[in-house]
Formats: sequence, C-alpha cells, structure tokens
Amino acid sequence: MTARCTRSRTRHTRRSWLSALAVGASVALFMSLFLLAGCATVQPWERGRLSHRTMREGAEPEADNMAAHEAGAREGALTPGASGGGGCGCN
Amino acid sequence: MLVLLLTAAGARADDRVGASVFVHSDDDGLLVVHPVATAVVAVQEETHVSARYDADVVSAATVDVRTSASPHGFDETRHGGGLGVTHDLTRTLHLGLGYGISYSPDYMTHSGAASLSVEDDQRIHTVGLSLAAAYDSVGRTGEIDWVGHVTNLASELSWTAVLSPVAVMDLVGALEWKDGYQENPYRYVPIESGSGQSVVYVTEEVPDQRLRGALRGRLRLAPEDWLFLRGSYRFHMDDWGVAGHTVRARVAAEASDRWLLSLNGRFYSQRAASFYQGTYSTLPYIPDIRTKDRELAHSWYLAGGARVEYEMGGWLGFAWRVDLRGEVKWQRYFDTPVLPQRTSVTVGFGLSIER
Repeated sequence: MTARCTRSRTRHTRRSWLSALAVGASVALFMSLFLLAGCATVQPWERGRLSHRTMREGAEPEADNMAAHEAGAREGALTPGASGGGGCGCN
Repeated sequence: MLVLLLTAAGARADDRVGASVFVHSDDDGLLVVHPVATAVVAVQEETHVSARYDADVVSAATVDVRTSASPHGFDETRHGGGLGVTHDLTRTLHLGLGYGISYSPDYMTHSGAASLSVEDDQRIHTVGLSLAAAYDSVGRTGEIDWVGHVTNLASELSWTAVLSPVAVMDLVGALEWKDGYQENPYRYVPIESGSGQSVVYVTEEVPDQRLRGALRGRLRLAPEDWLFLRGSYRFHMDDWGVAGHTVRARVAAEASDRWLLSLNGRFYSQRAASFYQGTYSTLPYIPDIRTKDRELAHSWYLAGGARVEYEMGGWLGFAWRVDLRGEVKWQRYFDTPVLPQRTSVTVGFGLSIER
C-alpha cells in the first residue's frame, strides 16, 4: 500500500514537472517569435494571404460560438459574448 | 431564414449573415441539436452591430441522468441570444460592448462584456483587453425557486503580431473567478462503508469559489496562396487542482475558386481536481467536499474532423457560401466507476452570405 502511494506520488510529481516544462517551453517559443516580430515590417500590399477569410479572427462565428459553448463546459473558459451555461446536457 | 434575409436587406459593406445547424450525438444517450444564427451589419463606416440567436434542443438519457435525475431521461431546450456593437474610436483604437442571455428551465445566464484593442501605426502589433461578467441562476426543472446563483468575472489580455507576409501569431492570457453555487442540483454522490456493504447518497458539494487561469499561443500560416495552416496550444489550471492542455491543428486548402476543404484535429488532456475520488469509502464520515462529476476526473480526448465549403457565387451583391462539417471525438475517463470512455459525433450544415 505504502509502495503504491509512493509510486503514485512520484508519477504525479513527474507529471507536474513535465507539465511545467511543456508550458515553460511553449511560452519561451512564443515570446521568441514575438520578439522576432519586432523586426518585421509588412506593408499593406504584402498582406493578401493574411486577409483571406480562413486567416481572419472570427470568420466562422457560428462554429466559434459552438466551440466556445463546449469549451466553457468542458475546459474552463468564459468567452466574452459566447453562449452561457446550461443546455448542453452536461450541467 | 426570413429574418436572416430581412437583416441582410439592410446590410452595408462588411456585412455578414450566417446560420448553421449542428447535431451532436454520443454513445451515452445524449443528442443535442444546436441551431445558431449570427448577423453583423455596418451601420456606419466605423460602427458595426451584431446579433446572435442559438439554442440547444437536448434529449438526454445518459447514465448520469438515469441514475440521478430521471430513469427515463429528459428533453429540454435552451435558448440564447446576444447583441454587440463595435466602434472604431480612431484608426487604431477599437471598442466593443456586448450583452448575452441564455435560458433553460433549470439554468439562466445574463452576461456582459467590454473590449478595447489598440494597434500600432504599422498594424504589426495588436493588444486587446476584454472584461466579462456573468450571473448564473441554477435550479431544478419544475421548481419555482432557484437553488443557487453564481457570479463569474473574467478578463482576457491578448497580443497579436504579424510576423511576416505569411504568418500571424497571437498570445492570450485569461483569468476567471467564479463564486457561488457550482454544484449540479440533480447529482447525488454515493458514500460507501469500507466493506462496500452500506451506501448512502448525499448531494454534491464543491467549493464555492474557483479561480482559473489560462494561457494560449496560436500560429496562423499561409505558405501558399491556396494553403492555410493554424496550430495552437492552450494550458489552463485552477485552484481546484484541475490542469489541462489543449493542442489544436487545422489545414485548409482551396481546391478551386469555389471549393475550400479543411481538416482539423484536437488533443486534450486533464488532471483531476484534488478532491475528486472515483469512490468515497468513508462511512460513517461524510466528506465536506464530494463529487462524481467526471469532468473533474483525470481524462483526455482526441478529436478529428473535416469541413467542405462551396461558394455558390455572387447574388444580390453578396457572396453566398454553404458548408458541411463533421467531427468524431473519443474521450477516455480515468477513475470513474461508470462510463470510462465516450465516443461522440458532431455534424453541421451552414449557410452564410457576406460582402
């Protein structure tokens, strides 16, 4: 019993460290890319591909609303403007 | 649809009206039909108003419902709506305000949100701040009084950067505070004796307060004129001990001037709440905090889907598009006495007009 608890605690500690490492590495990667963006100069006439609707934020509001509703119930996210709680068979 | 067309009739530049129906079904007896319609109309060059209506028509005979609330399951409908306005205060400073309401016989939410975003002169960087508040009322169907209420406060800080002519990245940090009744009023938790011979069922009890934080990074790429990629990673954790990772990826390709095909995938992994137990064997002692909510258990899921969009062409000055999508999700729960896994399918059909 004690050995099982110790093994479980060790596994839990290892998982916490891996989580912290994954988050730290991701933040470092994104921050590096943001710093690179400081050097970028993209003129309006160079943004043709970026203006495509699949690259725009909120281009599919109906699907975004459905995803935000589900994320609020399952993954802990109150998205401003999204549907409120209840009704998804999960409350 | 008539309402959509009437709204579209008053539309100006940058206007969009869309409607979709999603059907979600799983192998645990849950069926949800989710119609949603949205409209954005530019009332002036710098001011847009938006409106949304959505509903969940739920038919549930899940194992949780059959063992806790109703042996035959239940049918219920939730209605939701929202109104919003965005205004460009200057060329680079934008303000947004919104209100939403959601109602079902046992759950009601009022929510409000405000957002402010600012861009630099070159429009390379955009920083945004959103604040939202919601007030939920929780009850039981058929009873006049609510069982309890929840106050939600949320904030979100975002930073978007154009990295190159083919790449955009954003980083979002969010905090949410919930205070109030967060239990499920239908849910009863079995408390067993050590031998398992005696069982008593008591109402669920979870802490009244919950503080959640989340961090998300996302990259959008357009390596070719016809190819668009996006990937994101989100980490969230709260003071109940839940921590989760979400990885998303999507590939979209224009097969021709009219056809857009896309594939998407998601992986989610979650650590259990510190007080969650699959079985409480503590009788005669009854723990102050107890739950059998499997969404608080250790779990993970894998989801994959596809979407096809067809542009029908211009008519009445609008681009008309239809889309069809489908997604399969397989979720695995750990330390849950019943329903260790669940498979669900979501399909959707949509129509939108835009100019």
